[in-house]
Amino acid sequence: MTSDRPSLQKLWANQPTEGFAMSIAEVRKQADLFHRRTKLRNRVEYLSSFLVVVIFGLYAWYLPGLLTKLGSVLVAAGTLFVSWQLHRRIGVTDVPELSSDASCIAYYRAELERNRRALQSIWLWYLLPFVPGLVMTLYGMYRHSPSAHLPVLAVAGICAAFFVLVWALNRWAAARLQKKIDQLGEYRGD
Amino acid sequence: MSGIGQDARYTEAVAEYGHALERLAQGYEADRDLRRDLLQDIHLALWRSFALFDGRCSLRTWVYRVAHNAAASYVITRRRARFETLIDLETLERADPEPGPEEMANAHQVLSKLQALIRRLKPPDAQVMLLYLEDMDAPAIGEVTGLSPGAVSVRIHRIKAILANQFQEGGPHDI
Repeated sequence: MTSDRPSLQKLWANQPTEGFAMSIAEVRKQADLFHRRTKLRNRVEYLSSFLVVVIFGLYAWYLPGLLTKLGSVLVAAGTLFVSWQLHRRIGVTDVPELSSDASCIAYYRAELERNRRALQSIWLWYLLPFVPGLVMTLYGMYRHSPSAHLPVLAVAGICAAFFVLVWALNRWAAARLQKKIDQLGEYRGD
Repeated sequence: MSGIGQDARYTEAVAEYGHALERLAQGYEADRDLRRDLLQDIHLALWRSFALFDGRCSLRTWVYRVAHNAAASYVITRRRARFETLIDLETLERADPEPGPEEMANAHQVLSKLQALIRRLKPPDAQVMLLYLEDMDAPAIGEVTGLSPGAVSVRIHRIKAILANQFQEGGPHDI
């Protein structure tokens, strides 16, 4: 043992603090605010989904060509699917029981795994549902307007590049989290 | 637990561990405003947690678990946003001490260096270091963190070596 051990602990214990405090009323207010923010965020998501469904519903009605109409219907259906997934996966969540009852290492692992699962699966339920509709819409436009091949191909290329980039970034981030999860084994091993 | 019991338990916990929670937040966040946000998150998590408190562990263990868990969630989100890389005790053990003792002119500088050092650590190591600095013994640290007594002992040994290396014995912080 070195002589600086007790002194550092003493220094740590005696460091100046600001006297941060929250009254019960403030805590309740913040908890209520958190719930309201979560509900508002969900409502914005649902409203956005509703608008997308309306817009692509109108496309399905007005755009020429069967493929374009069908593609618009599929985009609207994909939006409804994503909206349902958001509701199912996120919703209004309270603090998980794990946060208070679990040891720190168990909680940290659970948090890393939750984040990794989200990153691994987000492309599947947040991006992929739009692909059939977009592909069909663009293919319909490609078939219907022979003079607009280049712009349609450009849009298709940008969409494909965006989807691949998001997928790759999420896979990369998920792999980094998995590495951290694997390293947690070392904490139990010594 | 009733709302009144929840409130009373929260008030009791803050009265007893309020300053320790601030020190804990210092070990996770350097920015003053962000630290206040973190402290607010911790207090909120603590108040909510007391709806579930059943006395299976001591109040101290419960408070530190909730607070460190809230801080770990914060670190995961923040580090991902800032693309920061955290290190473990083994890596820190191999690092050269900096700055030199001549630059460690007063207790404030020593404390700042100590806080900065903790913020570089991965959450499980930061937790052990912070609990050690709060003068908790190995079994108590094990109860909070979930690490085995052997794992805690090894980490405390490393922490002592790191502190001895980074904050040289008999320095001006020896108050």
